[in-house]
Order: sequence, then C-alpha cells, then structure tokens
Amino acid sequence: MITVSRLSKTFHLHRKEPGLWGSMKSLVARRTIEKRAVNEVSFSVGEGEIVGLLGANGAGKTTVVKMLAGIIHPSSGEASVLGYKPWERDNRLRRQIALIMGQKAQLWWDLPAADCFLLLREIYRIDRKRYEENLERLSAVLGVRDLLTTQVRRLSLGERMKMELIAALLHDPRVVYLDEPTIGLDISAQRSIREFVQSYQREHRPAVILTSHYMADIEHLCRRIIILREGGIVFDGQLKDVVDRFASTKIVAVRLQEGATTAPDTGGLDKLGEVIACSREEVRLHVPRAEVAAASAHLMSTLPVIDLSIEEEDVGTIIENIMTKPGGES
Amino acid sequence: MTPRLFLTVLSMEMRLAFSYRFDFWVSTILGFVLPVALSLFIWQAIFSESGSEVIAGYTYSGMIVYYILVWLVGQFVQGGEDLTDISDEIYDGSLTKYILYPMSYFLFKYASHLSHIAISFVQVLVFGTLAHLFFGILNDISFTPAALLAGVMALMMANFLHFVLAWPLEAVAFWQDNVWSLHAMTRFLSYFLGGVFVPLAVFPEGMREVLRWLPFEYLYSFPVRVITGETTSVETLRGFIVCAVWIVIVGIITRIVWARGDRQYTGVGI
Ligand SMILES: Nc1ncnc2c1ncn2[C@@H]1O[C@H](COP(=O)(O)OP(=O)(O)OP(=O)(O)O)[C@@H](O)[C@H]1O
Ligand SMILES: [Mg+2]
Repeated sequence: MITVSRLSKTFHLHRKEPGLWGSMKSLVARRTIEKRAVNEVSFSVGEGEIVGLLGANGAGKTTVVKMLAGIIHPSSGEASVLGYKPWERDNRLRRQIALIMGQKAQLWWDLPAADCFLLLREIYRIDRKRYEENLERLSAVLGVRDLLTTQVRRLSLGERMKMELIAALLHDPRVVYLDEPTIGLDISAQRSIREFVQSYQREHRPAVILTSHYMADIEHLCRRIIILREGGIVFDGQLKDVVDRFASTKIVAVRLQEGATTAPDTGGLDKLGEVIACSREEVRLHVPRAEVAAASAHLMSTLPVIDLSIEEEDVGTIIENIMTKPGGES
Repeated sequence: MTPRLFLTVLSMEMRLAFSYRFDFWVSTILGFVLPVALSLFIWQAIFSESGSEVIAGYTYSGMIVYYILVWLVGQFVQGGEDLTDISDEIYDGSLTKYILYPMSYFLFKYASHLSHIAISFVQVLVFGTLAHLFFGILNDISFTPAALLAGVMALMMANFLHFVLAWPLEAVAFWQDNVWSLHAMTRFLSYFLGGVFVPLAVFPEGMREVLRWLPFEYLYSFPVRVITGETTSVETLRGFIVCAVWIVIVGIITRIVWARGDRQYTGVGI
C-alpha cells in the first residue's frame, strides 16, 4: 500500500547570526546551508501492517512521514501511496489517509470537538449513518463522550490527543501515519491510545507507520521496525530479530551469599565482560554471547553464588545503540 | 468544495465571530468613531481656512457623507482582519492540516471570509442607520433598481478583489518570516490610492487617470460613487471590466506564487 524508493529530502536553511547586526547582514547576503534530512530511503508497508519508525531526535522520521502524507515535496526519489504520489494531493488519496501528530494540534481550537467533527464530516463527505456510528464507537472506546461539547483549547493534552485520534479516523482511512501520538501522555493514557490503535488496526487493516520514542508503544504495536540514523535506514526487519542480530552480549547476573563484608574485586570480573553492577549482594555483567557458559562457570567457582541468571539485553537498549552508534548494518 | 461544506464553514465561522461579542462591538465602535470624527475635524479646518464652499466638488456635508460611506463600504469589503490568518498559518505550520484535507484551501478561506462579511453586514446596517439619523447620508441618494443592482455588484466585486489581492502578499510568508510590514504598507497604499484617506477628486487629473487603471479605487472609492449615483453608466461598466481584469491577473499571479511557495513549505512545528 505504501512503496518508497530512494526518497530524499534536503532542507535549505538560511543561516542568520544572532543579534541585530546579524539580522542586518543577513538582509544583504543570505548564507544558506543544506541539511540532508532524509537520504535515499526505500521500504514498503503492506495492508494491516504497523511499522515502527525509530530513530534519535533529528533522524528524519517526521520528514519521511511528511513526505508520505503529501505535506512536503521530496528532493528526489519516489513514493506511492495507494497508487498515488502523495505530494500531488489527489483528493481520492487524501480521502483515504490520516496523519496524527502528537506535537501539533489539528483541531480548531475555538470550537468544541463535536463541531470540529461535523466540519470534518463535510470535508470528507462521510455519510450520516457511518459518521454517527464511527463517532459513537470511537468516543465510547476512548471514553471522551462527555467532553465532546468542550472547547478544544480547554481540554487536557491527553483528552485533546484522543479527540485528534477520533478526528483522524472518522473517515476510515486505509493509511494512517502516527507521529509520536503518545508524547507527553501519562502511562494510562498511553496505554489506552495503544489499545485503541490496536483495535482499529484489527478491524480496518490499514497500513500504519508509527513513530515513537517510547519503547512500550513499539513493543505493543509493531512487529516490524525501521531504524533511521542521520536520514538513512540502518535496520528494517522484525522487532524480534533485532536482539538476535544486534545483541552481541548477554547479561549474566549472580546473587551472592549474605555475610560478605566487601564487594568482589572488579578487577578480576573485568576480564569476563563489562561490569554493570558489583556489590556485596549482586554482580551483573555484559558478557559476549560465545563466552556466557565459561563466564558463568568462572563466577560459580570463584564467588559464593546462590542464584545465577542469564538475560537477553533489553531491546530498547539495543535499538538505542543502533540508533546512535555507527556500524549498524543496513 | 460542496455547497454543504461551504455552508458548514459559514455557520461555524459566524458562531465563532459572534462569540467574541464584546471585542466585536468595541473594535467596531472605535474603528468607526475615530476615523470619521478625525476627518470631520480636519475637513472643518480646511474648509474654514480656505473660505470656499466647495472643495474638489464636495461641500462640507457632502465630504462627511463620503467618509461615512467609504467607511461602511470598507467594512463590507474587508470583512474583518481574517485574511492575515493565511500568512500566520503558513508561518506556524497550521497550513499542514488544510493540505491533508480533501478540499481547496482557497475556497475554504473564501467561505470563512464570506461569513466575516456577513458579520460586517450587521455592523454596516447598525452604523449606517445611526449615521443616517445623524447626518442624513441617504438623503441625496436616489435609489433606482438599476443603481441598486450596480451598487451591490460593485460591492461584491470589490470584496472579491480584496480577497484575491491578499493572496500573493500572504504567500510571501512561504519565504519571509514576517509579512506584517508588508501588510501595513499595502494597506496604507490601498487606502491612499483607493480614496479612503481623501476623496480621489482632490488628486490632479493626470494621477486620477492612472488610478483608473490600477485596482485600488475599485476597492473603496468606486463602489461608493456607484452607490451614490456619481458614475455614468459607461464609467460603471468600465469600472466593472477593469476590476474583473485585475481579479483575473491577480488570480494568475496567486496560482504561480502559491505553487512555488508550496514547494518551499516545510510544515514547520512538528
Ligand atoms: N522545516 C525544516 N527546515 C529545516 N530543517 C528541518 C526542518 N524540519 C526538519 N529539519 C531538519 O531535518 C532533520 C530531521 O528532522 P525530523 O523532524 O524529520 O526528525 P525526527 O526524526 O522526526 O526527530 P524527532 O524525534 O526529534 O521528532 C533535523 O536535523 C532537522 O533539523
Ligand atoms: Mg519528529
């Protein structure tokens, strides 16, 4: 449903030095610098698939989403969404897509949500029956039925976000872009938005691209993730494969018998792997996968161990490493 | 854009505008009383200084009537300050949502602009009636159906011309952070050359001839003179044609500028 091939976007920034003098200088000679925000990105997303788009701040996630929603034109490359070029903005395409931005309100601030929805009903030409069913169902699931007549500017961030979701889904879009939909929300609001997205996805089978900095969102919603670094894709694959492919170490942890007066000597432990924690009660190490058995045996024989566990690295930490450290595979 | 969407926007905007009632009346009263009173004083001084009964074809009371009518027409033509929203929306990235919606931003804005006009109409009625009671502004105007029709036509065209003229200027926000000074300049220019500050009759004939081919007087002075029956039917017809040609020209410029600006748009703020 979404196919992207070698899509790139370069922003041109006018550099202005701070202060009045800087402003005056920039009137005469404007220095522009180029910023390659997205660099030759290719991927595709199928029906019913939720793809998590991950990356550090400034990696280019929002820029990709903006191009696929048709808001900005790419510098080069192609994309096709439901068979249309998004930035040509064919009404037939626009009627089938939705973009939800956690950072930017789309509803009209001075109107109550109910009025915004009525306006959207006319904009998308949703027929009355479908509109009423959708509104009823969506507002019931999200628990905001009592707030429909409150002016949007008076809603809390989480309440407003739920309204934004309803607004974006009233017309049953087949392609949905969610750009940090849970940003700034409390844990329970995050959960309810996650569950809501999940149920929408089950019923309507849309193609979804989700960006989020919360690992919980990704783990709950996405089987597949794409990781961007500095505008380029460094990983595109199943979330569960990330650990196998990128975690070169495991965590070996042992609990020690009580009664010891000092912590074990870290110098000796250093040879086994990177020490995370070392105290009188517990020792935790990152150990290269191939050496897990040997390291465990060594610990057992040299320390008063009462319990030993071998854990996979935290998937969030691994992804963070891929996002920030060079050397990830593409 | 379906007629139903048009009506929905209209009713929404009107509800919004009327919900700021206090602001609405304070700003209209100040906006009306100040300029009219100011011109009253200035022209009183000018008339008594020069000692003549008629200046540029206007008696003192005729002058006052002109200012009141120009103000009323101006309200109707401008319909509130809503058009500067366009540059704000470009600048702060709110344009994004309109890009996503399957509709025309231009027509959406026109619908919302027309609703502001509907509100201005209320102001014009109230202040027109008051002004008539105090100054008898309608006494010298003979209303024939033909003149009335021409008047309404001139007003509608002036309104649409004003709407269209705003677009290339607003689109500058695609490139420039601040279009406020540009707004102030063009407003001053169109007031000056459109007959709001002084009736155009005070300008020398050569300049008036040039002004006839520019768009500005079709915003203010021309509709007033059509309503008061000062124009001959040939003049009226020519005015309509010049106005229509400007609408087309500015429309084409808008299309070009907007298309280029749109390629620049980066949807800031997310
Ligand atoms: N409108 C713009 N004009 C100029 N440069 C921009 C613009 N928008 C983004 N950029 C630059 O492009 C790069 C990618 O930005 P983008 O917003 O896509 O990042 P992101 O991955 O969404 O980050 P975040 O997690 O912080 O939202 C950044 O370096 C940013 O500075
Ligand atoms: Mg972003």
